[in-house]
Amino acid sequence: MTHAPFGSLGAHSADGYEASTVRPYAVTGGRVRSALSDLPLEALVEVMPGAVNSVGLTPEKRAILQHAAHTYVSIAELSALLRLPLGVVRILVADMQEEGHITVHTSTPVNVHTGHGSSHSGLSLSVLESVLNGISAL
Amino acid sequence: MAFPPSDSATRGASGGMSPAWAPVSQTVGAVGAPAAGAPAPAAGGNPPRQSVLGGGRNTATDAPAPRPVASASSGPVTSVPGASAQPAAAPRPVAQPVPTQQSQQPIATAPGAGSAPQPATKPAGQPAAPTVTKIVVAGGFAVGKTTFIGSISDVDPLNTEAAMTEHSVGVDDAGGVSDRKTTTTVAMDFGRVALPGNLWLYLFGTPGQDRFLFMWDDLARGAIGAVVLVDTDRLEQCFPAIDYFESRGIPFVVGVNCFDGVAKHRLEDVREALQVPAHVPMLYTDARSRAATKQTLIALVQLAMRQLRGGAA
Repeated sequence: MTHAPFGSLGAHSADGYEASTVRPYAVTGGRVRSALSDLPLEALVEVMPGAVNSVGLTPEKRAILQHAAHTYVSIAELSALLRLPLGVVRILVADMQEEGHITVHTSTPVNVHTGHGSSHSGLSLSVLESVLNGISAL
Repeated sequence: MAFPPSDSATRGASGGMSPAWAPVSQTVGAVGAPAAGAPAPAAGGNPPRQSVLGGGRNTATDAPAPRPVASASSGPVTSVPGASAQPAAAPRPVAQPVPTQQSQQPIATAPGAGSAPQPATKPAGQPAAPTVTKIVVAGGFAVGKTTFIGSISDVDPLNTEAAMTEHSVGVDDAGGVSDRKTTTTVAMDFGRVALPGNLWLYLFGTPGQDRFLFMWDDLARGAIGAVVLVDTDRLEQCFPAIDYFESRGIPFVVGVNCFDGVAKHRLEDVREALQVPAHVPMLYTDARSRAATKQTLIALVQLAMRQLRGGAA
């Protein structure tokens, strides 16, 4: 049976990533939370040296290593590329970080959103200034 | 339909008002022209789109450049598109064998395949991780969020699906039929643009339907702020977004999307209809236009900076 549990799956065999017939959270062992599962969507994954050659990883984790092997790639991008739900990728990434295969870079503090005040984003003025100048120069 | 107020049609737009960045050309590329005065940061104008699979590090802007953060404070802040406001502190990347052509080549799935001056394996002294920022793009269904993101993103907007599964345990089953997927997944589009100074800006479009508001916390956390896109024919669709950002004190601007380059309504009429406070910037935009998108984002970042300064004082 080749149904596509997440919609666009079937169209992407060109990726070499086979459409999964496995329920999404099966690949996390059924967990929907992990210690680091509130990683930001935009957190960047970096593969540790030598990790690409790791053995014994699940196909999903291998795919993450491949996608992140030569560039920083965000959790959101991994979710899109692997056609896995964000929550699943978060857990896999958190696992892989614990296992020492990857490093996760987060630019923003994880617990900033208070809903009050204007510095909710935790971003500094100098970063905003760089963004402003960068957009202006595009 | 509550909008427009009956008199605004006569009072307002006879022949249509021109947004600040008009004229709107049909070709998006031409609209980007105002930037012509500024030195192109990435060797030749708008960076070519590329597959994200190829890896962002091939682009010029990803080359290791000194981060301008520390010294940028002396740079021009109130720059507008077209002003030659290239921050002096963000010099062009040097280690860059000029490869507009090379980086333009469609890069296949295998990173490092071929031409680009990119080593097959990461060098020890690889570029530091980019500083990541993000902006949320909200608005009703089919208001142009994805187009807006695509008009400025380095990569074609990607689509990801968040897991409703977390919140609907028991709904799914192993042999789930395909017509269930609409109730178990929610899609959102996003894009990314590399900025000088090893800075990445992500643009996340919110899922269109109101019932996915719970996801917005995830999107908004750590964001610079939000752009709420408004279609004046379907004003009510943006109410949830405005309510959301307003109630949480998240900086946001309202972009009135002009679908044919023609503003149908005066901004003050839209403001009144939406009951948006005066301190919230509201401007015309055109999701298809890179220049208009830029201007909208600039307005947002400037607002965020004002709020940050105000909050710190």
